[in-house]
Amino acid sequence: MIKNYIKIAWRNLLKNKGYSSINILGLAIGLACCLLVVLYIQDELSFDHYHAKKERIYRVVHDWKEKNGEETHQIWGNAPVGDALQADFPEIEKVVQFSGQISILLKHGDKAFQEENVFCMDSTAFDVFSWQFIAGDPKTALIAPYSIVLTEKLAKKYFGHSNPIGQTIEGGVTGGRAAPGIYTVTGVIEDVPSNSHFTFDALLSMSSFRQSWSEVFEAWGYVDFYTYLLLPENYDIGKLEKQVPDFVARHDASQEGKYSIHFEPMLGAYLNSKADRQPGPVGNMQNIYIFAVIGVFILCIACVNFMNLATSRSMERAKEVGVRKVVGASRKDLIVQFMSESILLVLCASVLAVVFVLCLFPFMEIFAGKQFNISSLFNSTILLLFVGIVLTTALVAASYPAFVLANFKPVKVFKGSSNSSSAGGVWLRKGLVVFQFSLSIALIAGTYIVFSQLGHLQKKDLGFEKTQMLVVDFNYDNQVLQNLETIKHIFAQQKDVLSVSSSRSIPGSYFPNAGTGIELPDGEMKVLNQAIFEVDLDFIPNYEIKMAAGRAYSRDFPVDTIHSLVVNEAAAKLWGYSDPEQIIGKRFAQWGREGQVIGVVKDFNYLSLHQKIEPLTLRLEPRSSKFITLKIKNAGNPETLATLSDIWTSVAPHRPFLYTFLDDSFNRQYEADYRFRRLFSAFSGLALFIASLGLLGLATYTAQQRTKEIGVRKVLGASTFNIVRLLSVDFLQLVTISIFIAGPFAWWAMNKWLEDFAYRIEIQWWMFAFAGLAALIIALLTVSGQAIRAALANPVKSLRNE
Amino acid sequence: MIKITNLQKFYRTEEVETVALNDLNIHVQEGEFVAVMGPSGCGKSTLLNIIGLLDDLDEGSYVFNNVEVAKFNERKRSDLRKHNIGFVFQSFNLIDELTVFENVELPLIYTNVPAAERKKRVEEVLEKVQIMHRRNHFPQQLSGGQQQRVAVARAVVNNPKLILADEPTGNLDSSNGNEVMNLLTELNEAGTTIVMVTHSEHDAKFSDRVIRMLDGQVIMETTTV
Repeated sequence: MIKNYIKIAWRNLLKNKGYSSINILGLAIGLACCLLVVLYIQDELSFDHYHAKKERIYRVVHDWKEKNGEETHQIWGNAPVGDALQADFPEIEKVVQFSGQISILLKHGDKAFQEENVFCMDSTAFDVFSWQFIAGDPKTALIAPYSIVLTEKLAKKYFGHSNPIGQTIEGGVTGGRAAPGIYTVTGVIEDVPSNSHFTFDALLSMSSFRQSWSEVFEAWGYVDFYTYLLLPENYDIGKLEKQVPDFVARHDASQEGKYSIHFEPMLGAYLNSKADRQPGPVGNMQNIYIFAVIGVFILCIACVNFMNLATSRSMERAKEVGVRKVVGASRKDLIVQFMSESILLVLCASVLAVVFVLCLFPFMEIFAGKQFNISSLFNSTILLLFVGIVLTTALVAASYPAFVLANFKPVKVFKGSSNSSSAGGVWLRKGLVVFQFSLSIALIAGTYIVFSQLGHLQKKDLGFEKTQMLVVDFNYDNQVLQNLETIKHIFAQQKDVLSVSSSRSIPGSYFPNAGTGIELPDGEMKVLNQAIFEVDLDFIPNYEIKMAAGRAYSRDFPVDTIHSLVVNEAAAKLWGYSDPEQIIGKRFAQWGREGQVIGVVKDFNYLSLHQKIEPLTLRLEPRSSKFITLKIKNAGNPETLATLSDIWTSVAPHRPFLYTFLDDSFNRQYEADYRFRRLFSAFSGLALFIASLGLLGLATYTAQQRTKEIGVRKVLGASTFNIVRLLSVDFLQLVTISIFIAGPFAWWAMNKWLEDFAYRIEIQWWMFAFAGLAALIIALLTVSGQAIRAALANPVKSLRNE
Repeated sequence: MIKITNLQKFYRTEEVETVALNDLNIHVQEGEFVAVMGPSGCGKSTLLNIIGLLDDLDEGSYVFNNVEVAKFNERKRSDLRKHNIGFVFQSFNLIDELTVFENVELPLIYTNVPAAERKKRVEEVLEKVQIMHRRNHFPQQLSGGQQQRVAVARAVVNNPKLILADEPTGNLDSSNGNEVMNLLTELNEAGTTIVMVTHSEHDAKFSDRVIRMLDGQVIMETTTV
């Protein structure tokens, strides 16, 4: 029996090649999208799950509460909390701390590279985290000062195939952590899995930092450490949380109730942490939901196609149903037959989907920022999910047509009045088309809004000059710092260089916070912990940052070097001066320096536009610089770059010429957003494509069903245009209805997405009109081809057939 | 074998109710060959469909082989149909996607006959209707007469007690038509009961008895000798 079903299914498939390929292709694309979404989400959810003790690892979140009730939470905090926790709570099995991310120049023989992704790490790291050792002893690797553990990638980079253990590597400055020195390689570990909430290329022993600068390990106010805890099995973190107030008080760390800590599980670090200053990039649960919804949408659209095409074709199968019933087939037999036929199609589609996915893997890096390979596909969870999806799809897509067909009455079929065009069926098919197009239009509108928002980010005036700004990263190098003024001067003399400045931070890069006291309007000094940019005299003019009040730093005022401070408008407001003029002349105290506020710069977006502009102080401290920024002409000219590179080699021969363009490095903050845009638009395009395939199929069959009507109309004098309009107008009505359904839904969803941006566009009604129009045009093109063909057919032929 | 009494059948649309069969009584004995004649729209085909349990009756009684079947549900009807009744249609109604062999095999599949037995019986019946040489062809590759012979083969492959033929020669020329009529006569002689709807007086002569209908009622029964 089954053999007979498969035989007839196969012959039907071959007989209607066009129909079959539309059906299989649509479904395959749907399934492929769904599979990719599953892979993507599974990867996002897998972050940090490779750690054997993952359930037991927690981390300290440092909480700051201002008097006005504003709270900030940071993962990055002080060092003493680690030792104190370990001492006060014996149930904590291990505490591991690591520094903020370090850029360091590493040299071995003639190989010298600046490594950007390095941390100072406690020796307990390998008791807590599961990074796999290839060589060296995890128990001792990070104990001795100036030990370094390399990842496999870095070990190969510096040592090729020779054994790195015991060899030395020269390390440069680390931005205030370990002093420059010679490190001994004590371990090589496998590269850190990409699904980690922070990754690194090398670890320096924390004792190197401690030896270089021990006092910060005692200072509760000094922020440069991440603290992670290993707790016993099934430990209730609530118990620890309850003791926090006493703990903070006991260590005299509360700073008048402003400071406290709490704990969060490491497994939530990537997707669920709301805290600032994470050790690595974080994911976004909302994006996961969005993609999950899109995946389901696309699959639904493909299923609907399938159902629509299958039922619209039921006329052709009606005779077969009648005959089978007459010779003894029961309703059940027929349902089973048509189900197995649909399942065969679904299986073909799923095989094709897997092929699509395999072909798409190389592009997933660009689209999703993730690397997948065949093994990621053939893991048990993914396989199980995929089989589940295929089966559900098969059942959903196959059941309706099967039931419709199996219900045909032979008597009616043989009389020629089969019910494929019965009122119910027609309404259902129309409903399904509306459903498909609503989803497609919602996705198009979503895509348009994503594009507009990211375009808005690009176009927004950030309050500083970001084009033609070449930033040289010399990573606090002492020799460069000693000759900073000379180097700047040499650069400034180049004909393509317009101006030069140096600073520790640039917009979009790392910046520290500083406890800063400024006199309030009532004369009281108020200390707040705020972002700080350490800059030179030329930074403000070079970046073309505008002044809101007072003046910028100037060579004409020698007092500026130690007794002046410039803040931004947000900081002036924070200290209670809504008019920036009024903060000028107020006293300040910051990091051992005292004097007067001399200027207020207009707020500029030194953070990504996801965040609003936070209060900032600009401190004159060229000796802390990490970057030199050159404003140049002809940035695209390789000769300019070559000249600058030559100059660098002559003034700092020991350092590579590492440069970026400010707009590039600033835009790197939006990489996740651009990836999101690429994925979103690809998915929307596919959704629309599948929906159009369905519409094409449906239009073809509608035209076939109405052949006689068209013939009669033509005989009676209808023009080609009349016929095309007759056949198209129904579909266009459906698409128009879809616009009104999709609008509110897309508006709601995209508004949610935009909430994540401090600087955002407002959604306009015409964005939906645009999406609708696009869908309408595509629908029109799809349908009218069929309609024109039907309209041009010779009426005599169609009437004779009847 | 067939005993229909006081049969009523209506067709209803939203506005009108048409009486298709009105207080109709028919008896068919086992082994009989009955022809049903009458003008278009008199209810012949409806009657045939009701006898074949393809359509249900609105009022009256239908006893098939001493069992009242008027109130049978879909599953029971299909069960009774597949074991007892074979159909031959004017337009052959073969499945285009199946070969001659597979078309004839179909009823055996639905009665769960094992594959080897199926092959034997299909080949036997194809020999009988002299279409064995075209067993692997698809219906569109055959002439009308050949297609109808295949349809007859399909109708008899399950050895039904009753064959219902709805204008079996309507789409055939006279020589092909006679061939099919001879086939039916042979089957009847071998014991199969046949009820045939026809417009053709010529074909009716092959039967034992002619029932003439008008406006949903039997108006005359004649015995042919």
